[in-house]
Amino acid sequence: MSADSYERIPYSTRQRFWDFVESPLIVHAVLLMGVVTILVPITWEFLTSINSAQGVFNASYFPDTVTFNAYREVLIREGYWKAVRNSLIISTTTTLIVMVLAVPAGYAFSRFRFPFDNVIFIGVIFSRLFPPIGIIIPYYQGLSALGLLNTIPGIILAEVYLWLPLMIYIMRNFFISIPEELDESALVDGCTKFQAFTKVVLPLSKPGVAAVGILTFLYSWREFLFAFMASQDLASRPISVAVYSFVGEVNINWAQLAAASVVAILPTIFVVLFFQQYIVSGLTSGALKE
Amino acid sequence: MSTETHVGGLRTDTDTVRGRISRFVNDHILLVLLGPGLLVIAAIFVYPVVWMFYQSLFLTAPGLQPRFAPLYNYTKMFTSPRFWDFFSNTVYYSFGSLLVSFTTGMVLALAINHVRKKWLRNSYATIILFSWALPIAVVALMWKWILVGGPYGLLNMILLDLGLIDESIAWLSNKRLALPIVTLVDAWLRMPFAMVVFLAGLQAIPQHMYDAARVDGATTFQQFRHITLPYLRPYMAIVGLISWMFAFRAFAIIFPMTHGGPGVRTTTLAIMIYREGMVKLDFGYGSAIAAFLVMVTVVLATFYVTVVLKRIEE
Repeated sequence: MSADSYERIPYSTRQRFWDFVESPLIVHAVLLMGVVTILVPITWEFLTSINSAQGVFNASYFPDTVTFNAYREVLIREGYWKAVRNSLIISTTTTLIVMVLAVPAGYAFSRFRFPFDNVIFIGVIFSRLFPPIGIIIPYYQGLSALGLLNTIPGIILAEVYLWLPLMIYIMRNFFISIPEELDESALVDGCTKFQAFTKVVLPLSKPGVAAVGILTFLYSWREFLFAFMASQDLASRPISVAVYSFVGEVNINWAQLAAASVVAILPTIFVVLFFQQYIVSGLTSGALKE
Repeated sequence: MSTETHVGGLRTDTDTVRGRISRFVNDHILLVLLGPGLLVIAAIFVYPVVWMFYQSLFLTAPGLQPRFAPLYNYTKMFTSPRFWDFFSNTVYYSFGSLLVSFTTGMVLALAINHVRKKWLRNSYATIILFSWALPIAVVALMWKWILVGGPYGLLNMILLDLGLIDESIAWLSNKRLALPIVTLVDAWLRMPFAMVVFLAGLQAIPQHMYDAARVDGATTFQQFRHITLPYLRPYMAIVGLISWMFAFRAFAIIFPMTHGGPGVRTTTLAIMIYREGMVKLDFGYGSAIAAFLVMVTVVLATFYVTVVLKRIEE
């Protein structure tokens, strides 16, 4: 595209309008609007959680009396600390399994040519793009046949299915960005192919591996459909599903629901605060080729 | 390989267990790296998919022996007016959510790209990412509480205080408002992804393109149209397809918020699959609807992989 193709337009009213649109005033106003739409619902949830069960119906923006009763009731009396524990077990185990499987597989796809490599790789992409709701029924039947319904391993199995293909894809894209000459010179220096991977490429891949780990943790922490389908009781239910159990009642106890929600939200906010860069790089490389 | 034999050839590493393992790993490097991952995908993905398609050919009911009736479920589905209602809800929901999240994501990405201070850009991006990271059912219930009828729902409180409405509205039980509202909540959840991808696209545009254009007297709008948009096109294609695809299959916003109601106003194909398959336990019919949803997505997934990814590769 050559710059000659632009019409020469003198500094015009139209340009003055665009200068205004681009001014810090408008830019920050737009961004503040975005930030408000994100933060107001989360803040409201927090304010509800420190209100009393009756106080939430007072139609006031701030609680009259601040109480942490809802947290005590939800976590201790209703036993929702178990759901937090389940979430931690499920997300951590899923993350470990997915990382152990996805990192070497991503490396293999980035470095080796083998029969049907493209077909197999497209198969992996396909299993990421395939709608999970489509196999919710066979999954339910399968878990039930294996006796894994309402168990933590059953949910972990479902989460591994959901996130493994995506993480293989992200890892492959990351490894492609590492020059292949490094592997080759490692081989020349006497490494085996496996050592070239573990001793040379892997140490350089820490940001990619971290992105995959953080994303898997967040994704399996957030996931609802499969965890909901695979668990009906508090013994195996993660917190992302446990919050939903407040809705089944005739009258929803909004303060308790809010307290459980805040407990479910807090870890995700911390993860975003501390690992924003990895999440962004993971999200973009999961969407794009390079 | 040189590590397998010691200099002088007195003793080879192949004699030790470790040496043998290392030789096996090296000889079957693909099997070792790729085997476990592919095996797991085959076991927990390929098998259920095949079973889903197979099962859609059977007439099933709780307590009855499944009977092979290849066209029964599909005929039932395509002749059901309800099904087409739910299909159109799904189309509305997915395209509405895509449209809103795409536009707001683009506007916010352009705005962030204009912020000079790095810490400020990062703060904006981080806060907007919050909504992406929240557990999906929590998002649904959080908004359900904001939209609840009666004067104590936050939206009603604000609108009443501003004098914009006279009496509170039950947003989610309103037949006309329910579907647009769940669509907007879905977009709220999906917007940060679009923003992140567009931001990556914007940062990949070389600055000298703009400098050259400005020297030539191009207006801001012309720069946007002739530089920014062409560069962003692959990113837009990706966001468009991915956001649409994930909204098309979405379950976790609508179900906790409305259960598909009021009536069936917010029932999408995903909710229908759940209701037929998991509640009424009609596995055959549920699988047939799932097969339809899959086929629609597969057409687009194929398009995505062959056309869009190819174009970005070039």
